[in-house]
Amino acid sequence: MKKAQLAQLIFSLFLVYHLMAILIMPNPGSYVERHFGFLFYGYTSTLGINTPWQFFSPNPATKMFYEYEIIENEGSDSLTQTYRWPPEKNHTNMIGANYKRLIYHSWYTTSSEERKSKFLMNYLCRKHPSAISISLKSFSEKVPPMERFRFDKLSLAKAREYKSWSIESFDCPQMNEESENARPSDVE
Amino acid sequence: MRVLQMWNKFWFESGDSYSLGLFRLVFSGILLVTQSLRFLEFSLLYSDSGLLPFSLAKTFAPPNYQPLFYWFPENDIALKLCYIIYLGFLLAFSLGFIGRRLCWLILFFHLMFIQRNFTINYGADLVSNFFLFALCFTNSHRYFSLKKKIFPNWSMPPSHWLDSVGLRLIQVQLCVIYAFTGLEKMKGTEWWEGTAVWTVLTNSQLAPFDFSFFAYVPLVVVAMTWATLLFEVYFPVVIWFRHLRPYWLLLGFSFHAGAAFFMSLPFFSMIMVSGYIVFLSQDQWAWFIHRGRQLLKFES
Repeated sequence: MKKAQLAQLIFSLFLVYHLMAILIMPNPGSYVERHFGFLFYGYTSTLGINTPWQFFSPNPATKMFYEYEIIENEGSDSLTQTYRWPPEKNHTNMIGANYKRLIYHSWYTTSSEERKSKFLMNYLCRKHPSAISISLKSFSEKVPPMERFRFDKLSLAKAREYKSWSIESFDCPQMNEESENARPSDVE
Repeated sequence: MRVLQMWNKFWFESGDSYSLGLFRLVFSGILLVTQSLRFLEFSLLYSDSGLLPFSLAKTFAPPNYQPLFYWFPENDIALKLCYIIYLGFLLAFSLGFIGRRLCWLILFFHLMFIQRNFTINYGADLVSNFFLFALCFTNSHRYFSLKKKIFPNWSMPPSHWLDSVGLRLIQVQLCVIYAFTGLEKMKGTEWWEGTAVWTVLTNSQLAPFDFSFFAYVPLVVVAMTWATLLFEVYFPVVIWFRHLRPYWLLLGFSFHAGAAFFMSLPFFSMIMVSGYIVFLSQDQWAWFIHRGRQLLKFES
């Protein structure tokens, strides 16, 4: 067998492996992924090709954001200030492409309670070093269906409905002790 | 044996250096712009005092999604230096100075920053991983390259069967992306109802303007919703029919142009559309360029 043919044969084995990886890994939780995924995790995760393809699916996401209050003193004279995360686009100097990354950051760091306390709170506590605790309120924004929107004849701003669906409180002091020298970079 | 012959023909005998070169030029140019813009927020996105400190960066991905090893430096200055080197390599790559071997270095730097902060990556970054990986198998600088002009003595590497592999990997990956995302959408009630695009158009985090007027032309919303579904689900099948291919690519171009405008996703759209380049042959591109010049009256 010629050298090139042998190389192609060996390379074909890699191609079969790669094709299986890109077909199995985007379907996490499937029977095949549960039983055979271990063969591909290292390879796909190292190359950054381990990703489900779920753009706007199964349904497009609605707007979600958080309002948080930082509490700076204990007791009756506690001071609170309210902020939003991610901040409104017109309250930042970021270009659109980079602002989108803040939105993804808020999605990924709040996809579970563990991530919320470990990642989002870590940043917010560092962002507000005077805070001893942070109270986080989750909001989703919903717009009525097209038919109702037409019937109500409201503007989009008035038609939006906001629903708050959880309030959680997180303590900051420990985080502040660990990160005294790491005043976080602010969203400008 | 016939299957083996078809396999070999598909993977190893389909290299079109012209399309690869054009794809390299366009894709790496877009990547250079997006990565340069991302650099503007380096401090917030990648420094230790930013969104994700070094101490937590390696704990974000769940166990099955952890890379075998991480290779980003845990030092702000070193990381910034790596970013600047990465941009330099990207520029050289887009101008056609870098071939197969050094492309792996670009992938190395690209993944460095993917790993550094998983929380800020989105579609454009993820698709770029695949495209860069595929380009690592190719000498995509045989066409659309400044290297020959600046170094006349440089001998262009001959076409290689790995060029074909890279091209096919890009094509197959696009089919996989559309197939999975289209089939995922079919689980969603809003896509079946025909109202999914309304949700997108009225999401103030995505839509740059007030598109609520679409409520008064609801059939347009339904058409856009179902066209999206049909385009994605049937892409992996239709794209392999030579006579239907240009029309389906045109539909895809319209689809992504709409996403760029209505959802403020210009870079993701451009990266996806850049992948379409490899579906057309050199002759087809020559025809497009000729028609374009005729329309612009550069040629008679």
